[in-house]
Amino acid sequence: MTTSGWDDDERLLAELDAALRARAAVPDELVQTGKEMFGWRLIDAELAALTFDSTSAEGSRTLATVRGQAPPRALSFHSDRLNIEVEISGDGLRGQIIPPRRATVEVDDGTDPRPRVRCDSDGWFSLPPTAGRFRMTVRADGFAVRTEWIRDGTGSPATE
Amino acid sequence: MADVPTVTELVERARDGDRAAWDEIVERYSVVVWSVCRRYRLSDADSADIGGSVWLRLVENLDSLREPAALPGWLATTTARACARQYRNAKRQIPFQDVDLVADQVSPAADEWLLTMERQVALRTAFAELSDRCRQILSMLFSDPAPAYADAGAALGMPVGSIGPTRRRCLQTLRSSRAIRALLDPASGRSTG
Repeated sequence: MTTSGWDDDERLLAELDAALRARAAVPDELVQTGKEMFGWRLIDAELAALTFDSTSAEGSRTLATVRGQAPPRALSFHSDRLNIEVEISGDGLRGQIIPPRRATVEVDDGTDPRPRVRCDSDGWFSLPPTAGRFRMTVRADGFAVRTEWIRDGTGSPATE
Repeated sequence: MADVPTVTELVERARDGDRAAWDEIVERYSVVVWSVCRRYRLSDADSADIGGSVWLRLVENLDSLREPAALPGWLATTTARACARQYRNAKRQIPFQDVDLVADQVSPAADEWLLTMERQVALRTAFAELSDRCRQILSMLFSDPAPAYADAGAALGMPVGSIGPTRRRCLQTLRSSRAIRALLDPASGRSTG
């Protein structure tokens, strides 16, 4: 690895300056979030069970169909600590954590790295469309909740 | 002076549950994650989300990292993939194609960029090892153009004539720090025993 120019005091000083500025430009939130991630290493996620699926036989009967348009698929998940409501359409996943709390939602659908977003103060979140089978992990203050696997998250009704 | 660990040592300690080692990893290499996000012109909010997902992925894969010493490259590649996917999702009129998302990261230009990142990490680490006095003096001299030594001397409470030699001594100490020596010769950078 070459460090040409570092014999010269002026150049070394200029490079040092640039190096310190580069670090100073990184938003604190990115650094703090990164440090917090270490705490997630050992946490086991609680399971959030699927309690409602609009594409199931029972679910279909409870939802009206907008004429000429496939309705979004609605899913409900329940765990002791929180519930998750999600709507899946061609635009992606839109959902809410109930009760609302500061949390992140991550989708595992085989994509690497997994898409991960924060929810807003009302618990709403939006994620990109998934590639078929998926599950979600919600990480909040000191705990994690993970949904069971959902078949076919592409927004079309399950064909099975 | 306290031992200044290499990235390999930091990864090994983090694997053992050493939170301070993990914090140091994040401190040193956030610039890599941030710089890649900037190159993809993502918003601060999107960059923060992506940063979080990249660090989480590292935490979950700490044990299986094949080459801890290549962590900067791993971070750059992982971040680039996440940014490219975010970019595609935001611009819906671009149909998704199975393009090599990280082509940018395997070019000679990308190699050079990673080397620059490594140099900057070494410089920052070495700077942190300097005495308070040296850090103070060098920081004062960063302006472009540098302040007149008379002004710097007044601000630092030092005779004008001693600023030049002190600057030289501080920079020489910087050059001989473990972090910089490791850059020049990886073998010399490892701790003994």
